[in-house]
Amino acid sequence: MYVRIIPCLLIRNRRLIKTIQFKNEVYIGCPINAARIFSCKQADEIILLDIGRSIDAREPDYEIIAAVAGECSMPVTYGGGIKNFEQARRILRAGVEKVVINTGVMYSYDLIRQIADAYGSQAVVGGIDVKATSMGGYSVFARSASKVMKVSLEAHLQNFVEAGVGEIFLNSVDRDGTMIGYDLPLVRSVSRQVGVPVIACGGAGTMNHLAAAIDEGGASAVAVGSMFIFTGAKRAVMINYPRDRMSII
Amino acid sequence: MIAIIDIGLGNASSVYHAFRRIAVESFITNDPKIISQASKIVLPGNTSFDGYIRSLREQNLLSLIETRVINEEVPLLGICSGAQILGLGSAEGIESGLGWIPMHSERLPNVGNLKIPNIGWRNVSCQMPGNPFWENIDKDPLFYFSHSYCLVPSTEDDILFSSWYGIKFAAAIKHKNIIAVQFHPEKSHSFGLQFLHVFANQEITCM
Repeated sequence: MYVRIIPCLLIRNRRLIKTIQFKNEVYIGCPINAARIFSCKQADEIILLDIGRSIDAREPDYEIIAAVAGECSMPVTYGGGIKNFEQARRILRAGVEKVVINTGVMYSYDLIRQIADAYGSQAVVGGIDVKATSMGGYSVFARSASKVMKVSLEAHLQNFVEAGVGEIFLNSVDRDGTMIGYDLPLVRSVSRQVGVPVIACGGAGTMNHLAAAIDEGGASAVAVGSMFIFTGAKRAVMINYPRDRMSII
Repeated sequence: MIAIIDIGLGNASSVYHAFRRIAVESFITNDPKIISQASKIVLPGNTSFDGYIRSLREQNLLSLIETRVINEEVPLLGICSGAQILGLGSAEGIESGLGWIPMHSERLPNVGNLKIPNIGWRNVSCQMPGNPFWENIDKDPLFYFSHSYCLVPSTEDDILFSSWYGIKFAAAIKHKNIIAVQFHPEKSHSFGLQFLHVFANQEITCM
């Protein structure tokens, strides 16, 4: 069975950017062009995250979402600043298959249930940003990793699943942009706790990392940022995507 | 001209863009005038079962589409939840289906470690040898699936493609002039475009 390899595009103000541990933003280029290239390269799916929208009260940028989605003959998932059902509806209508809700559940998981009831569970993804704590566990963060959530990772996962999510998008803030590999104990722990697919994100640097997240971590899909954007030690921008599918026995 | 039924939910625009890529003219519409003139009709997916039935009912489109599809034998393509509603009912919801295809929908069973929903690219095999939908797509096709429920036809003779996820399940069904697909041809790269090309350009009869 094939597992999904998913390029993850971060944007702010319609500009494609990259971060390291959610900081040190660098400008990459045009997200519409990047999406078109990934579509030509037959990418399995694409995830578009607008990190400029997660904190403030602005509406999602429907135009850029529609423009990116229109370039893709594979499914598109969007996340960033979705706070209510009407925003989710407009985003899905713009041509997106799935929405990621992260900060939007800070106070209530009702939004998940509303989207799942209207569109089906497969349309709504629970987004979780985590950082390792000094005591060996993990804390869940919201608002682009600026605010710690009081809920434990375990409870957060259960709440998401009970509210009807179709997938979990698990993002390691510590590994973001580092290209040293996924946090395998984290991925394994989360994959074991839920019966929905887990998309691992944060740290991919080599094809072996992707394989490990699947084989050892039990992830159903791997999201990849820097590895598909940069090449070489000097991190030159060159969009790439593996030619062959990855499968598990 | 192909009419893509717009119920305000779901993802009609992806279907429109896919047709555009293969130079097929289509309209996203809930306008009875356009639906009355369409040569073929598409019911796009990505909506819950009950949500879909209720939206179609609220917009007073059901009897027009039924007349076109059942009486006038206009070819119909139902995608994912747009396929599910064509049956008698679904375990997903409480509403009755349209009953245009003798089938119902059941939840995918939990088998081993397999996660539900079934999301990803899967192989399909053809159960109707020689069918144009198989003859006109590349070898070893893969399509994108994203579902928790699967189509269960009353007769296996109606199964066009089958796939596997813990169990063998119907990936595509052909019942007279109606094609019901579990996968998303509008989001399955070139295989999907080839499938849509057959639907748009070949004659789909009740045979």
